[in-house]
Order: sequence, then C-alpha cells, then structure tokens
Amino acid sequence: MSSAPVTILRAFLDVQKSRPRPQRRIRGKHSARIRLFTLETGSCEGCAMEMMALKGSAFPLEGSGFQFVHHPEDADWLLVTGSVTRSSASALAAAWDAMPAGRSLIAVGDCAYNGGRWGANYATLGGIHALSRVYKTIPGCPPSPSAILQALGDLVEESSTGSHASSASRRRRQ
Amino acid sequence: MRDMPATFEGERIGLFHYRVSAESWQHLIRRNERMMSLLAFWADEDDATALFLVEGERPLLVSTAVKRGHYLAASEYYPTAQWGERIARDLWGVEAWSALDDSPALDDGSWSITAPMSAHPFPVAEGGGQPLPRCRITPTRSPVPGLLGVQYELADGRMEQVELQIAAGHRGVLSQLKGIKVEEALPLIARISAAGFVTHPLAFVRAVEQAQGQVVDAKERDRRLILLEIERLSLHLFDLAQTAEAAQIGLLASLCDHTREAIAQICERYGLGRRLTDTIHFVTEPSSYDEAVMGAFIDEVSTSVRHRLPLMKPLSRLFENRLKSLGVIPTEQAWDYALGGVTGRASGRYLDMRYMSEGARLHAMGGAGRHEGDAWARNRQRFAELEESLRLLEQIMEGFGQPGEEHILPKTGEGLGVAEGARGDVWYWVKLQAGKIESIQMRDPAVPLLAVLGQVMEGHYPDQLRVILASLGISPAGMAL
Repeated sequence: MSSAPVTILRAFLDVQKSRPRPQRRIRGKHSARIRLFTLETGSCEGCAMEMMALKGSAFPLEGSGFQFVHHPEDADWLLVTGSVTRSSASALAAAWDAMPAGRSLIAVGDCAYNGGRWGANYATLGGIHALSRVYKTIPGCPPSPSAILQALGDLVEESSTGSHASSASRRRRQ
Repeated sequence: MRDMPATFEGERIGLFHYRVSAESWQHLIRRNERMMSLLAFWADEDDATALFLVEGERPLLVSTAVKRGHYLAASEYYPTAQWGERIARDLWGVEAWSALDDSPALDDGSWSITAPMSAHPFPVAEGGGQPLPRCRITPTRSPVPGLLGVQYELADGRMEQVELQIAAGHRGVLSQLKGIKVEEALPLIARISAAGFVTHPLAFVRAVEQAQGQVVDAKERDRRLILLEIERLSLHLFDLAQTAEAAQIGLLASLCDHTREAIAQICERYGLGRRLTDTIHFVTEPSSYDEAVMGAFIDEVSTSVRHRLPLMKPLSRLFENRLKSLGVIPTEQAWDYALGGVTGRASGRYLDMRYMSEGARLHAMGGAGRHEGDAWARNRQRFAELEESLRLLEQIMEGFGQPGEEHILPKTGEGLGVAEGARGDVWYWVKLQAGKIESIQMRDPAVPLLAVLGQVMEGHYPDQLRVILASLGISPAGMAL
C-alpha cells in the first residue's frame, strides 16, 4: 500500500495527464469568462447530468472561457434543461427576470426546446420555444458535454460576428 | 395459492397476482408479515394494489377493489406505501382511509386539470389550484440533477422536520403511456430516468415479454446483461464523483469523471450511444452478434475502469472520515422500507434482483454488503460493485449466448418485469389489450428512499445535505414521473 502523499501524487499525475485542452480561446468582446446559470425544468435529468459532467474536470470549460455561477443575477447566459413543467415555469421566469441586461436564453437538449419525446399536457408546457425567443438550441437527447461546449463556443463566435456587423452598420450610419 | 400467506383467501388473477376482498386486504396489511416486504403501492379508480417481495425473491401482487373512491390505506402498517397513496390521490382522485399522510405529492396547484388520470378530470378554476408550501431549498435550486424541494426547520443549526417535494418534476408520464402500443411506449420509457436509460426500458420489456409469453434467446439475454453492467459502472462513477465533489475530494471526483467519460466515449465508438440510450429493444427474430466486436468492446470498457481503480480506492480511503456517520440508514429501516441497490446493501439489506435474472452469472457475484449504512459505506459498496461488474462482464463474455434453463410462461396479457439498476430494483407492471397498454405502473428505487429521506437528513447541518443526497444517488425523475 502506498503512503498518502504517494497516493495523492499518483492521482494528481493521472488527472493532469488526462486533462483536456481548451477547445478554443475566446477573444474580443468576450475576453472575460461568460457566466452560465443552469436551470432544470422537469425531465429524465439526462441533460442536467451532462451539465454536471461538463462542470467536472473531464471537460475544459473554464479554459474555454466559461464559468458556472450559482445565481441568475450573476449570469450572462441561462442554460435550460427539461421540458418546462407548469410547476417550474415561474422559476424559469424568475431566473430570466433576475439576469442582467445582455442575457441570452439557451435550450440544452430536445426537451428544453420543444418537449422532445414528451408532448405538452396537463403538467408540462412542452419546452421553451413556445414561450420565448430561444437564442440558441443545443439538440440531443441528451447532448454530450463536448457537444454543449462546442455549441457554446459557436455561440460566442456568432455573437461576436453579430456585434461586429452591428458596429459596422453604426459606423456606416454615422 | 403457494405465495399467499395461508390465512388469506383470494382469487388468482395473474401469474403472481391475487385479488382479495376488503376484509382480507385489511387482514393482510395489518399482519405485516415479516417475510413480505412491500416494494410498491399504487391505486387507480378500480383497484388498490400492493407489490410485495416474499422471502426476498418471489414477487406477489395483491389487489383489492376501490369502492366509491376509497380503500384502506397500507401506509399505516407499511410506511413505504405513503407516496403511492398520495400519488394515487393526485392522479386518480382516490382516497386511502387512515393514510399516514394525505397531503398532495404531485399536484402542486399548477396543473390545468385535477385528477388527470380519472375518468372525469375536473378543470382547474381560473388562478390555479392550491400551491404547496414554499421550501427553503426550492426544487430548481436542489443540489441533485432533478427537481427536489427540501423544507426543514433549524434547531441549533441542525435540520429538523425535513419534508421533501417532488411535484415540480411531474411530467404526466403515465397519462402519455396509457392506450398506446408497447412499441410506441418503449422510446418514452427509455427517457423516464437518466439513472436508468437501460434499467427502465429493460424492466418494461421484460414485463411485456412476460405478458406476451415470449422468451428471448440467450444472446439477446446476455447482451442486455452486458448493457446493464456497463450502465452500472457509469452511474456508480457518477455518484462517486458527485459525492467526492460535495465532500471536497476533488481529485477523486476528477478520477471518476475521467473514467466515466472514457466509458462514454468507448460506447459511442462502438455505436451504442454515450449513455446507452435506446439500446433495449423488443426482439422478434433470433439475435446475431459479432462476438469478437463485443469482446473487444468489453475489454476496452474494463481496461478503462481497471486502470484507475487502484488510484481511486486508496484515495477514497484517505478521506473516508469526511463521509462517516453521514446520512445513516439503519439496517432495520432498510428492511422495513425495502430499500434496494447500493443504499440497501450498504445498510445490510443485501438483496439483488440480478440473482433472479435468467442467465445470471452467480459465481461472479457476491462480496458481502456493508451494514454501517452511512455515506462512507455506500461509497465502499459502490467500489465493491464496480469490481463485481467487471467480473460479471468477463463471465458473461466467456459464456456468451449459452442457453440456460428456459422458463416459458403462458401468455396472460399481464406482466411483471424487474431489472436491477445501479440505484436499485426497477419494476414494471403492465396489462395489455391487443398489444396496447391498458394499465401500467412502475416502481423506481427512489420511491421507498423518498419515504425515509426526511428522517435520514434530520440532525445534520444544511451544508451536509449535498453530500448526503449525492451518496444516496437521489433521482427525482423516477419518482415524480
């Protein structure tokens, strides 16, 4: 049996060896980390579990320019999982209202977008596409953590391009 | 009536199913036979039904008629039944006399109708129904992946009078399954709970096959057993990682996360889907599988786990004091509430429905369960079961597809299926009519756990909540449906 320091060192080295590289660096407008708040709204929990996996060390979330926050007041983007039960709709609205300006709403997984395999009924509203403008959808049932991370990175690029275009338009108008 | 206690009379209406009078029901419930554990309870407008496990291995269904919307509660003598009774009240509007708890379980006033599964649901008046009391930890802020509200009072900083709410996660699952073909139901059941992407559909498929008098060939039987073990590896690693994270053992959490991700990538590379979603099917023709490919797949999965187990186990031992005495479930309570899976086995209820499976490799199973019943014991049990699953995978592959004893059952239109998942035994009961679902009920292992969860958390500090819930592997999706 190894001593405690050796055990910890071996574990540390293994984790370091397996630590993934960041997918891309975020530049320009989003040079600070983008703050994410996740909200489960009623599902099999598959997407929520993938989000928890994404928070773990098997994925380079922070190195890719994102961080999870505990309160919607601190978040830039709201990541919703689940098909939005009628019961959780008020929590979704409250989280959205609490977010600062410039916020975005992202549906993670098929259920969050349109209810997925479960249609709307007496207890569920069947996803957020019917309730609000969804800024981005990450399809999958459930989507993998790497697919979620990839989609978040794409969204940063899209929003950067969009902001550049807006700036260009403003300059022309001036 | 081999399975019924001798003093009861009832009409046999299925392979394991008896119908009894109200008097016999009362007698049966009040006797609370030690040899019979109540696994699940459900009721609709016609019948109240209890699912028992007799002598730890034989299932027994007992039903009695619901008269004028009422029946005698089972919860007074079998407290595990309380959530089933509350759910029946919310969904079908039937009431249990002398129920331990008659507060709403699912209907939190947000629905568009009341008693939605009854023949005549009522529309809810403008402004909605009666909301449930607000929790200190609201369902969307719970530390588990799903929606679980936790209410408690504080005394000297410790939690007391802990109440749980699961209503926010109710999706109307049963209402969507009723009346559809079993083939249409399977993709829905495959998304009941992410804690059982294999376990839930497998228990359902087994119930349907029993109802239809079908026997699957040995290769398909073994393929399913393999999938079940790989799901077990993945979920045990998830629960270990979450527990370690909550107990601030980051290195252990990272090792578990990396190993689980390695398994997911191997599954994906072999065309199974990262979390083995939609891998359980109804089989209509004899199966043919490339055993060499399957062997290579299992080798890769096993290697990925074996590689890190010698790191994870000693690391876990270094920090075991952080988990000891947290969330203790005494042995007697585990038996009284029929707690299954790791939670039951870490508390001295060493029952495992895999022993009852066709094709079970009994010689690869075993290793004594623990009895301490705390978060530490559950972690130790998970590590023991990781090793057990690796042995089982090896044994299944060595004798892949070897025919065993066939138990051909008659086609009755009623079936009861069970699969032992990572978090315990999942049961499905179905009644079919022309290939469609006339009635269906399911029992997720989280349901009996829910009945003890309040007691388990009492006396702990609120900041210990996360580690306790993670160590129990709580998944509200399987309960709220």
